[in-house]
Amino acid sequence: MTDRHDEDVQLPEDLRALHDELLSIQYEERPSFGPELRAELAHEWATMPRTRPLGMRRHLAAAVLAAVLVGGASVPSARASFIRLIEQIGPEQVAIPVSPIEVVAPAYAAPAPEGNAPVAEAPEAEAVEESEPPPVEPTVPDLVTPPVLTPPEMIDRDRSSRLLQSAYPRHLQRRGVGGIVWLRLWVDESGLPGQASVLHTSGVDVLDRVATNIAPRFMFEPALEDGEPVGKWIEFPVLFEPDSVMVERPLRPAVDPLSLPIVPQIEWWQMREPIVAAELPPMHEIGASEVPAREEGLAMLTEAFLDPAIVDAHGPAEAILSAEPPAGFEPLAWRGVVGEALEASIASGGENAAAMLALGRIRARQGLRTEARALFEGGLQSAVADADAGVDVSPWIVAELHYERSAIVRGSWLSSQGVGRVFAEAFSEVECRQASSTGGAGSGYASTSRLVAWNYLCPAELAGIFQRGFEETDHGSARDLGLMMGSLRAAIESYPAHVGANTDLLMALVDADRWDDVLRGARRFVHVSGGHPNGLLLAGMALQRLDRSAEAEPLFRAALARMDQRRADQLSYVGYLLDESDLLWYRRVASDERRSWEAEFWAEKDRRPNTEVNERWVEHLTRTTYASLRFGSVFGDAPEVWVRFGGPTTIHVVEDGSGRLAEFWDYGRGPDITFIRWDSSARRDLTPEGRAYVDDLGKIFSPQ
Amino acid sequence: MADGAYNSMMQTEQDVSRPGTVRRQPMTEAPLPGDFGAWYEEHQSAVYRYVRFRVATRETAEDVTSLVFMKALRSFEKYDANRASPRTWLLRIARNAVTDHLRSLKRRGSLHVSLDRIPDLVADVPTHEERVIKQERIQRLLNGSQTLRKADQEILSLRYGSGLDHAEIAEHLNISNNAVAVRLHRALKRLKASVEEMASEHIEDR
Repeated sequence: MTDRHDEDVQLPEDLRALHDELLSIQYEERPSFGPELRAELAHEWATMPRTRPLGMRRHLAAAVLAAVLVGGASVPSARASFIRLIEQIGPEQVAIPVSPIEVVAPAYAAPAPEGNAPVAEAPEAEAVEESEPPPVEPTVPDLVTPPVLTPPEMIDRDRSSRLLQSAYPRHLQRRGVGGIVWLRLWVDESGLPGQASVLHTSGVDVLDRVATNIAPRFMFEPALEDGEPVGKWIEFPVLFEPDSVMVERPLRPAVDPLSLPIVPQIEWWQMREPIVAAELPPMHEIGASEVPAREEGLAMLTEAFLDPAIVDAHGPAEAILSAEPPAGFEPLAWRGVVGEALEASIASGGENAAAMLALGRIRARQGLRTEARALFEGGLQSAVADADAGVDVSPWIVAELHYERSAIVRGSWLSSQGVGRVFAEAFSEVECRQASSTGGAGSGYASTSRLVAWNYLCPAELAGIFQRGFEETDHGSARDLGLMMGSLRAAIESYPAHVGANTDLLMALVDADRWDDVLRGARRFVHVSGGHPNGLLLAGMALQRLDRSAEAEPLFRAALARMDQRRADQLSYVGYLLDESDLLWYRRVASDERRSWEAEFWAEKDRRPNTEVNERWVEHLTRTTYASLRFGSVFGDAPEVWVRFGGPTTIHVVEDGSGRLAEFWDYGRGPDITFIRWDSSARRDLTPEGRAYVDDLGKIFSPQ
Repeated sequence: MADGAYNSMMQTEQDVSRPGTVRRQPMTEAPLPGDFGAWYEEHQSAVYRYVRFRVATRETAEDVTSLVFMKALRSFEKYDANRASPRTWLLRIARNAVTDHLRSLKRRGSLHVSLDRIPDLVADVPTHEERVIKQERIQRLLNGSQTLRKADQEILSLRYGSGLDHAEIAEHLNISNNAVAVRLHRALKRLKASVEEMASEHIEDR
């Protein structure tokens, strides 16, 4: 078998030498090994119990089930625990002594076992027992004396719960959709679970799928029969219980962006026709319609200058309009000179919308946000006046003015959204010795560092502290959100294909979990923009969250194909999901090889290879899309956590008056993941404790 | 490895048979179910070699191989010929068993699996010096393969451990012949880079 095959001849010379070397390895077995093993196998076969009477099988099943569930009796009650493995067992099942547990009869009739697998009997399957065929080999001696059975034991039930919890779709939780899935699972003699099947459905397909997908990742100590590890079937229920607090109070955001009076009927921008990826217009058509409007805007700007030579000296006009200096200019000095020239022109009556847009952008980059906002609003007034006077104003410039105004408001909305303080009194009712060194209850507001310390030292207490002591600070976030949505809507009305306005408006709806609206808005965005990748990504996200991954996949693929390599690399980045050795390879490979590397990576991760879509890949793209559009990049602490663990259940943002905000991302179990950010910045850095915790999680969980 | 240790190890292995010799007696005295006996005769060697390619010592390879066949025997009644050939089935069990073994090493804290006892992998080398050189080289290759990602290790073990050809690997992994060639090519490339990197680190350490 070690001869060179024709196909190996195609290898290049250096690899051929390696190939030959590998082929030259000679595997010498100990001569007696083969016969010894064969004899052992024969002995094993002769003494192996192959078929048991049903009564015995029932007892075994009972013991196995009991053991799995007993493991849960010691699980501490988890905060916001909306999933747990139920500690239940039918009364007649307690045939083999196990630790005492509460006995509650399952409220369902188990279906008859399927196939010819060694199936554990369901609790109420008394009638089935009589109709079962007689045992194939009734003379097997150990059928008379029951063997001593130690049932399989689930290792780390918390981990199992966390796995289930992370896969429980949030939109179902919010809608209060839950249920019980009864699973059947084979646990082999090394403790590894096989494929799980649904014994009794929850009535919700998605929940059944989540349970069957996750169960093979549970870990078990194998069952022992007379001290020897053996494979056993087990049956157990998984309860998906929507968290009542969550149903009542979706935290992000506090305000529904579509319910604000400032945003009138927004139906006009929605579309019900699906996107057909194969029918998208070619890439070069994106933005093609923008060219005349843009040129019109640039002409407006050039006209505004008292001294047109400034455009020749510091231009081109595109650079001035975008407030970004051309190559070779020092940005601060350039913005100073161009700003002065624009200001002089505007002051001397050259007030036009394009000039005010350019100057507003320069002021925004100089950190003068209030002045910038006044200039954008002044530009809009000037555009209205021009239009009234019959002067044509570029709709693109008007859209840009609306968009820039929305960006200023957006910054203020994002920095105040959900921000609050925690009263120090909230600590008085809890006891946590580990955290006592962080200071007594005191009065006033708790410092963010104290909250972070409590979070990691006494994670179970934090929910109570937030519940009792968190007070949202009114920074007018609802007003800001309303202004932002109004500006974005106006920008889209002026220029329907505006990329920034469409993206930001849809992202506000994403944060509000308005997935149907996101989908319709994204369809329209794709339609009017000629297939912009952002529209395709947002539509893909919405479809994934609406449990339509099969429709989402082609949209994500089309989006990746229509963007530049660097951005596609970012969105496809799987580095957060790799162990150290794989990461080493991943970082080394070139962009083109990386694609095929990733394809292999995801093919291996596909837990349902019989379906056409790889749900995990689609979920990953949903996460990287969110990270990229919300945080500006998939690289950084917050994007890393988002991509690895998905979105948190809730986010609390706490201020302590220093301009430094602490964010607490709650994933339902364990401590919250904590970040620090400055209120003027969108960047979030993990606290040192958060970093250590996230690294530890990475060691414990298999990614996603 | 010191010469003394090497020699004493070799002395215990005087009975190692050479390729081409008949090593196994026909086992007629103890029955195995159905075709299991025939499968064992046909595939035991491929399974052993697959395992040996990935674990540190001959003893471990024997333990893991025993586990594979025990497991197969216990699940024999569940085997479905429509889903996989016997060899594919056995090699899948072997893959899981090797993974379990490596995982258990990890759990015990033995993260690094050094392939430091490999006299059973070097045969047909006339002189002692050549044997030592070849041992070192093979040790480096196998250590290098341990650093590769799992998919690479798998395909290399199938090709150079079990000795399957491309078509057999394609059938085993349920991919095309072409995909096998591409994956093997990449795996070899990465193995080469890994071995070279380890060699340069070795030199730097000195």
